[in-house]
Amino acid sequence: MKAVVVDRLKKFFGHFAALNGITFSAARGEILGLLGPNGAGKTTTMRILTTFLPPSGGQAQVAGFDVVKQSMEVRKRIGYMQENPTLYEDMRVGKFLRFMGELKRISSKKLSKRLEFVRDAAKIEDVWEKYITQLSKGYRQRVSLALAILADPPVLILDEPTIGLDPKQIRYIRELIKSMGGNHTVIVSTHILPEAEMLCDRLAIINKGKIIALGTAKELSSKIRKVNAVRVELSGQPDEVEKELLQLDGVIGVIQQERNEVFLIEFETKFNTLEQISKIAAKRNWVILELSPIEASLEEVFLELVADETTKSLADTETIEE
Amino acid sequence: MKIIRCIFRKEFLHFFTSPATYVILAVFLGISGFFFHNIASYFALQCSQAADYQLVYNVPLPPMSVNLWIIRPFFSSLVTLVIFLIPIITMHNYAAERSKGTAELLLTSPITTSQIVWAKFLSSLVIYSILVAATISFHIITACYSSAGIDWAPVFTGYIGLFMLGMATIPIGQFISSMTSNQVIAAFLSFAFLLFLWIVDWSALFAEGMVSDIIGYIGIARHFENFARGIIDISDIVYFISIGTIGMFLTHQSVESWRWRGTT
Repeated sequence: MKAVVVDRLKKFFGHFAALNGITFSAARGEILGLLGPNGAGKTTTMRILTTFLPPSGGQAQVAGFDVVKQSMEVRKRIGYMQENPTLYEDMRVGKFLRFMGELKRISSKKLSKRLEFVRDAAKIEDVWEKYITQLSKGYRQRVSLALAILADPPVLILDEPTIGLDPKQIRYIRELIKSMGGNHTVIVSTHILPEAEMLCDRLAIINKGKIIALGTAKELSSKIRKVNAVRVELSGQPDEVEKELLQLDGVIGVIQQERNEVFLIEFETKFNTLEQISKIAAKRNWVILELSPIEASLEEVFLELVADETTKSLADTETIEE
Repeated sequence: MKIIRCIFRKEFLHFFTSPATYVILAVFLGISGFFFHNIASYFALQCSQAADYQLVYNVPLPPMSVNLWIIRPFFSSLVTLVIFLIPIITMHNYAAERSKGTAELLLTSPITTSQIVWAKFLSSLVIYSILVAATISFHIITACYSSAGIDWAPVFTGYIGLFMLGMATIPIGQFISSMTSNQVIAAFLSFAFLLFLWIVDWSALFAEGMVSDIIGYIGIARHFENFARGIIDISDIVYFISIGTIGMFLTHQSVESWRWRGTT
């Protein structure tokens, strides 16, 4: 059974469509990344999943419960970390987490153990007795993360969990989130692409309230590539190599790299160019020293998809205006 | 019940760990003390004049009841102060949750709107009761210095009346607080509404028949005066409970609407 199911979810603020029928799901134990530019609809999606906002249309289920009809059951099963944590400023960290633990209906006996766990896991023992108002942004983020994991919920919803942290903290928090995958379903939003690639099993790219791509980083990379590229290092006369390779089916370009024997070959994906390269190398007695595919980085995928979507929107607008 | 107790404790401690609370308490006791001093001084003056009158004209002293001259007017003064006090206690209840964004913490926790509303109501009622109870000291002073003593029954019923008044008006203040994210606006509107309830029955004098009766019934003053006189009338209790229930219902609906209307 899927831990999170979002089906044609819509959210309107007045006439503005923050979400325009997004659909995705996350399996138990999966870490799903919501990736998108600012204002894409990531936080709105998360707020609907946490029952803080009702959807204008469509459905969403968390742990098998509908976010509208069974919102209490959903709230019992989620841990939520806000993008800009709003905490009770006049409370001490330990007292605040105890208070929230009681609201989350954790039994007194279990709560003490959980408090110890989150204090160590989020590394907030130094500020345990401090008032929240005295905390730096980094510590507030960590208190918010501690709150999200306090009740050990099956589903964690983390909105930009590493924003405002220093590099050391970022690495630690990423490792912590990564370690939670498997036992917990984690929906994490970010616009830090390497983070998404490192943390998430799958990614959903959202732009203007719509999912424009969904899959693993590798799937997304291959999806946008109409042209593949390989880096080949082989022994042979550079001019001859270039000329021969250019004659192969599907090859679009051969770029000689800084070292004479290294070539970057771009080819159309529908042709089996790699096999042809091997054959011609054998035929010409070139020794292939290295042959490695060059994949599109997530950044390239993201920029290309978002740019495509923006171009489409502009084209649609122009068509309507005409 | 555990959840209500938990939110109650947090709200209660928040109030009493804030320095502003002690300023409010000091100002409230200072002003009520000022009222008490003026009322008691006026009573002393009246007694002295009555004694002079008796000496000069050799007529018996008129009855000078402490309850009539000090306690009842003091309760009326306290009600005026309560109209200021209630908005100060309730203004932050919901407006602060909205303005600081902590409403999101509450609304995404596995708690019901009723639990939030009851916990905040009870904590404000207890805080209000503690502040009002501090004025009992003035009655003790009166009892100590009055040769004839005082009748404690109207004092007791007067405090029951003040408690009922709090029970009725706190939900009104909380409802208004839940409608805005600005604490000052919440306090000002609550004060305006409570003042309206306090003075509305003045216009009953200019109306006739059923309209006059209805306007007269809406006003808080008439219902409280009975308590200050030592009379516990079931219709007054029904009035205060009705106002409080309406306030609680509206607050509940308002907080519930945060979920679909948003809190900012």
